[in-house]
Amino acid sequence: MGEEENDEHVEDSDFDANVELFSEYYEGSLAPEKAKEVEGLIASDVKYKKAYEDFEKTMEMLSGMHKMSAPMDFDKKVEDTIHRRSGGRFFGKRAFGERIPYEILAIIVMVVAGAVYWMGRSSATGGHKLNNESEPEIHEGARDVVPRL
Amino acid sequence: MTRAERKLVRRLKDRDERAFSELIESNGDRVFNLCFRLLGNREEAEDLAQDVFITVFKKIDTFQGDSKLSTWIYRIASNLSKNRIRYLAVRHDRSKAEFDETVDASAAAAALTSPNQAKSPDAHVEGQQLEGIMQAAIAELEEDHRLLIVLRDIEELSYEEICEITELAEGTVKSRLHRARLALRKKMMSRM
Repeated sequence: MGEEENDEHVEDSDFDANVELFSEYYEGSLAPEKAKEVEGLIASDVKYKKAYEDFEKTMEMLSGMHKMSAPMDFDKKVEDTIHRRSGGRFFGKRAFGERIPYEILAIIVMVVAGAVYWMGRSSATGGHKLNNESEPEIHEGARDVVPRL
Repeated sequence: MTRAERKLVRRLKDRDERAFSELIESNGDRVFNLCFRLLGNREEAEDLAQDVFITVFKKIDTFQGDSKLSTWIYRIASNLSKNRIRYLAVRHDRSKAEFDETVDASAAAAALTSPNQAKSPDAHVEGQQLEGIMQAAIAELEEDHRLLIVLRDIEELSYEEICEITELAEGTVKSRLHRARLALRKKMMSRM
């Protein structure tokens, strides 16, 4: 009884070891002698034949699976997500085309406003310059026309 | 890496938007298919594939050009997929019933929308159902096994590429892949 059990165990481990070679046999990467050995087992032993047929069927089903295509608007969705997450700053070359550069505009406006103010203040004829020290002289003939402030 | 690929990488690093469009156009379907086969759900796959490209764009400056660009993208996709599988497992987001329903619905829809195919409608529906069963069996595999099956037997990548993607030795890939195939065969047999 013990010997029989031992024989069965050896048979099972042999079977498992040979089944281990199925992948390489299927892919044709097994050494020629080993490949012949596996081929002989499959041809002569029903157990191996069944196991290999199942294996082969699984492999054929796997390789026959359809290649799924990405949705039609997939690329647009990805680009939109990138634009949204990066606030338009990701794509360097088109950054100004994609969004208004408020920071730069604000600086330019401040510089221009400063320059205009400075020009107004420094101009000899500029109307922004306040001079309260002396009242402008009014021509004698215009006293009745020009109101005094 | 080919000259054209090097040029594309340079443009990507310059953040040329057109280069990114070209990248999605040439790799979008493959990345989506990988994600779909790993997750078994179209919406999740689309979401994940988007994340893959966003990560590619974020990390493009770290790409050294040691491997093909597509291999690098696959590596990102594989890592993100593993994380997503774990996340979904925790969330129990993928109920089997829902999955089977989706598969049946898509099989029926496919049969109805392509009546002029060479196969008879019955054979077509049967084919779709078998594919659904296979997809469900793949989804039951451990994540490492799932990844190797998809990369090798569905995406038909070379062992060299798989080793680069998974960062495993060739012997390890081969033995794990074989175990994955046997596990898949067992699951398929129990479902048929």
